[in-house]
Amino acid sequence: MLRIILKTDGLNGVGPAPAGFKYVGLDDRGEISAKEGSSIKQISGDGTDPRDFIIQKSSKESDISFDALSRGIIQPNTGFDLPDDGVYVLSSVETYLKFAEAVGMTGDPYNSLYPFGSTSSVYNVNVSASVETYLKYAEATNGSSLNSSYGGTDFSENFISLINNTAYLDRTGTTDDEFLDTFLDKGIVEFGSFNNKSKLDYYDVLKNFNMNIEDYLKYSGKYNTIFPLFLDKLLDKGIVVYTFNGIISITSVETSLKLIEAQRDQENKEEESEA
Amino acid sequence: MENIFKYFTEKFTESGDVNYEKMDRIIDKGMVLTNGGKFDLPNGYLYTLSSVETSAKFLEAISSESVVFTQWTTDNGFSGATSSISTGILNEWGSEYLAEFETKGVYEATNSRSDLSWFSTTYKFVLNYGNEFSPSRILDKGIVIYYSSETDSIVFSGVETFLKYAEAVGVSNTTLSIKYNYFGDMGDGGAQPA
Repeated sequence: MLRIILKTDGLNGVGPAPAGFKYVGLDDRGEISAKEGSSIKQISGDGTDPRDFIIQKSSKESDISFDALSRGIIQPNTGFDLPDDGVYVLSSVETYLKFAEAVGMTGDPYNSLYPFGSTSSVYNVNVSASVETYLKYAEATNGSSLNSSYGGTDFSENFISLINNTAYLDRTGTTDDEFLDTFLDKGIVEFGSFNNKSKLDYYDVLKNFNMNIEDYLKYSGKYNTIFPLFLDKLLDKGIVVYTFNGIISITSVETSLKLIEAQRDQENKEEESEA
Repeated sequence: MENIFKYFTEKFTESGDVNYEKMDRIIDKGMVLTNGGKFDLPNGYLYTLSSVETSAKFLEAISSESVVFTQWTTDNGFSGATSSISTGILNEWGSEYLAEFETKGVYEATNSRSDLSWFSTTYKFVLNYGNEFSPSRILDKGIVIYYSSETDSIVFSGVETFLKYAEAVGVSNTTLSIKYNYFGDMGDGGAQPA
């Protein structure tokens, strides 16, 4: 007997449906057929953006170091938007390369994107950086066809929005003199998207960021608002979002790599026990 | 959308009251931005402005069978811009300064109308002569704006930084044909056509 999952808040989950159930949807002929894996990955859209979720959570907790990312969040993916490419990463160039090299995203694409479950051969990845920083990125990712797709999102529009806010703060002395260098030298990499949407500018959230007294005293001499720390803290840690087995993880790059390693160990043990 | 070079530098340096120290840092570090095809692109995918001496270094490194520079044969506004700037220098500063400007020379390669007036006005690379900022600073560094269709990237930087980029990743798989103009004193030790 085929049992069908009916949901009121969109199809969430690119992994396999629970045992005994099928995800269903309309096919190209307008008929209902079973859907699974990447074929349903773009159906999400009415949920919470995990990027906003983690930033707002940090703000509420006066978590200026984005420790919530380091601790990581794992929970059923119900109610969240899902990454279009199975995984989403936003970070500085250096942090991105740590992640990409660890999971094989700088090499053969057919062996990469493990364990994100994506079977797509087209990925959106965009970069803004100084020439020197970009060349480090280009050298590290050279030969990877994961770099073959640029521009599938509104990255440019988001970059303009980011410039508007960062340049304003820079001109008005809200940041220190090194801010422009930081902006250029760290660089920004955004891999993937949510509903084909890029997001680089968190000014609207961060301008009202709650800051505790200790952090205020620590940073007030350097920054008049929390926003510039976006580059210093958030991009260094990086945001990684991916789903597995109906679960969504929102973590820093470092924590995501621990999680992926643990998954691999678990799968290896299961394979060994089956053998 | 925007000319990202103008937008970026104007935003960070405040047009009208240019922060030359920041301007230097932007030009020296340069920037690469993917998803660049959505911005206003240089017609022909390449724009460069520099002193004649700096242009020679640029052309020596960049020119090839697939990157060809030919001189403008029609008016694209370059002559009018140089004439206006020269008149301004002569009236404001005198013939000695004009001679120095002509010796420095100006080289501009673009397939569109000349942007020399914009650079002159925005960065005051001539009329701020005598201030701490050297008028030849921008011309000596040179400006390059380049679009790579292969990676959908906009690149903008000074000449020296752009040459590092070009050496590492190349400039294009397709033929670039760019028209240029130059202005300067042709005498001994003066600006020579590149």
